[in-house]
Amino acid sequence: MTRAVAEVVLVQLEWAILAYFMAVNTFYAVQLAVASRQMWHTRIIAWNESRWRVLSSSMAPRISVLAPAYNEGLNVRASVRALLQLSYPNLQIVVINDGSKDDTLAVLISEFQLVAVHTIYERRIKTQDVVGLYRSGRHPNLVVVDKRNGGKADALNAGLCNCSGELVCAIDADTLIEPDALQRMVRPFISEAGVIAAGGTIMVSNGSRVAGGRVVEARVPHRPLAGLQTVEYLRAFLFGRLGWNRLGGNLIISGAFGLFHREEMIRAGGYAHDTVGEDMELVIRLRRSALDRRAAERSGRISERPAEVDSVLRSGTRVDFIPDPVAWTEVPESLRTLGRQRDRWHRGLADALYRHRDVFGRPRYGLLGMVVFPTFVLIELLAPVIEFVGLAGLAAGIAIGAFDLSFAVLFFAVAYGYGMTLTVLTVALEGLMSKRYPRIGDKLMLMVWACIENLGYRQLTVVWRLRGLFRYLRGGVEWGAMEERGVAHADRGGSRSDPG
Amino acid sequence: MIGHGLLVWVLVAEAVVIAAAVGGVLLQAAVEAAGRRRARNRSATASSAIGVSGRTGDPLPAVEALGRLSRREGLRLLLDAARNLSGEQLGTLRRIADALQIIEQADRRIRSRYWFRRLHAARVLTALGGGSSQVRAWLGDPNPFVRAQAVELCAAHPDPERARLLIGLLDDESPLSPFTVQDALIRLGPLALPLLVEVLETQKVSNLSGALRVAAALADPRLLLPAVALTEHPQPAVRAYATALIGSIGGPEASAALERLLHDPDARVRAAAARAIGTIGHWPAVTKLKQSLRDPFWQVRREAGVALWVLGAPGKLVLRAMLSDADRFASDMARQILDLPDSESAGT
Repeated sequence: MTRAVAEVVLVQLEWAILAYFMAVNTFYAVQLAVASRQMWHTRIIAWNESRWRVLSSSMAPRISVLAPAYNEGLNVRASVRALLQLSYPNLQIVVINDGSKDDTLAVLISEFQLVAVHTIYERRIKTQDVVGLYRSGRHPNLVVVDKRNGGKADALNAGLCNCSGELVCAIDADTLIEPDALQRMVRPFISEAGVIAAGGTIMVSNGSRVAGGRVVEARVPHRPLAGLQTVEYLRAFLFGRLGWNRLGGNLIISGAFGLFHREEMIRAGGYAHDTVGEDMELVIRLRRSALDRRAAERSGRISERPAEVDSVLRSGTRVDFIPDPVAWTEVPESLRTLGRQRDRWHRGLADALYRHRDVFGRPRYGLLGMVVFPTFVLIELLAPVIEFVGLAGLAAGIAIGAFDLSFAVLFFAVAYGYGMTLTVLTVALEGLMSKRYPRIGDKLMLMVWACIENLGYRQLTVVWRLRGLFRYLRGGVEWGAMEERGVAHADRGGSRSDPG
Repeated sequence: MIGHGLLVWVLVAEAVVIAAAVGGVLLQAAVEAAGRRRARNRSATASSAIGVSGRTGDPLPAVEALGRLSRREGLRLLLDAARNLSGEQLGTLRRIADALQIIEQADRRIRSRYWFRRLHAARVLTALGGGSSQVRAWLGDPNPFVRAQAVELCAAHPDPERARLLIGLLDDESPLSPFTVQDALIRLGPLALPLLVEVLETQKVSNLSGALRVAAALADPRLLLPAVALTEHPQPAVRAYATALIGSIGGPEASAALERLLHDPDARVRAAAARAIGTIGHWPAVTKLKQSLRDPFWQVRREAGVALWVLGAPGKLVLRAMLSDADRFASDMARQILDLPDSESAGT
């Protein structure tokens, strides 16, 4: 009797989980379709677009690139030089020395002929004390903020208070940004209404040829771990996040490469210190803050925010993803490091969603509350749980004879086959539209990785994400080894946010 | 059984889609690679021919060479060349495009009901110097990107009529408009100036802030009097932009207006006035700036403090005097401007 009941339960459970998989993947298919259209739209807009207009325009909004530095004496020189070579007309580089114990500041002073200036800034976000502000005699657009140690979020917040850009670009030091990426990233801010943040595509640099801090030839990695992550990043960035542009807006902008409306960031309180998912948490808070304020303005509780003098930017509530500006990052090639990274990302996701749980299902927050947030909870957060239950149920079912091996194999093949199909289609569309990998060999390699991603690697990520969720539920919000990530030092983590 | 059957069909469908996608990508890559190999030499020859035609003014060599390429490749080479050419050489390029019927095709496409074709045609015509007769229609196009392209054409090939059309677009509510239209007007420079003066005097456009931003970039003395008049506009944003404009022009009328604006009800206007006083070096205003150091808004205090510093000795005297002011925010700002340590850290 018990066995019969168990069989019935397991069979129903597996069908339910299969239905969940089909629903999730169907949603992804819709995202893919929407993203394809977006991608086509972007290509049309970008075709023969005259970027000299932005390059030579006095109306181009000022962008401040924030680069925190902690004990970066060896690498900070090269990193800052790479940033100074970014091609954008109205650019400010703000390096924040977060109380380094080594010679980071001395290197900066010597290399860039820094001169101490008056520290007059409005501390709109509380941070550790700023003890010095420096400007470069050689590079007028370089500012160095020297402060007491407070961690990366604290350093970024100090940079926020001390920069003068209308837009702020947060990057990781190990991210290689294409020289004209900022010209493209700024496009939604000057062509769309109400964009407060934008993210760009992160691609995997492993296996590519890098020279002078730039990827000069994009190649698909031949090593399995890097290759599989390449496919993951393509799927997540190019079509996952692009699809969200038209389905309610993005909830994640990668900490490795994002552009934000500075005033909105400050109003939202800047970066949070006590979370490992600070990039996702910030975006949710940004959108929420903007939506709350808009609701208050409409109800007359506060007066409408006046336009900033000297700005073409109109603030709003949108978070967009731009497919064509690209940044490159090196991904982990060891299982251990990759596992820690995915563990941390999932903890960050759980933490961010939990902190803002009252957004869930609230009409006040529009599509954010009614579509985006629930989707992230039900799909991104809980998927590894459901997937694990499905696999465990399948194994249990086989063990007790509830289903035979052929059914189990078929079930597995269909469930993961749908995912494989979407991944392959993503790669195919990338090949048709972006053409970042022009060689036939690279395209073939991508297809191979797309096909085998679901045969072991995906299940491994489920384990890591589950572990992250479990650790979060047990109260683990630390970074693991308390690794300080800054201008030139990172855990080879690439995007902080789960590529999806 | 039903379950099995359904799963099998789904699996077959997935396999077919995967095979088609893989095959499609590889086929497309192979075709492109073959095409690139074939076209490589011809493209190089065509590029050289374009260069020769540009130098000699004879379009024939380029027409012959480009005729052997695909239309897409030929267009790409022409547009690449057009970025670096102007004047007669660009005219030669235009004749080459004419001979290849590229202009004719673009002229047809510009009337397409599909926005992406209109945009494509607009960009081709902008790059190659055509489409002059259709600018007015483009500027009224329902698609904002096509309108933006028309604006770019006006900026690239300006004349008084186009300047007037652009002024009219200041009120365009498309999100793309503030950047493109204002940027184009700034590029027009002297052509736009008389129209801007007229707009500011008559206040015919509703987007006065946009007009003032353009005016501030041009900063011509003829804009001063209309700007001073606009400092009494009911909208704070307009007053703030007008204040910034006055500051970029200067003069006795500007100084008097700026001193008055230090008492404006809006903080942005007061901050802009303080900054402008520093910019034009109007040192007689130091007493009034001293009062601004006590302003409730940090931004106003900061601008006043910086202006006092910039004004030299008179300003620094005031700053030193403010160190012992009863208003601790004012004294703190003075201390920061003078780069002095605070009393806590100095141990006093």
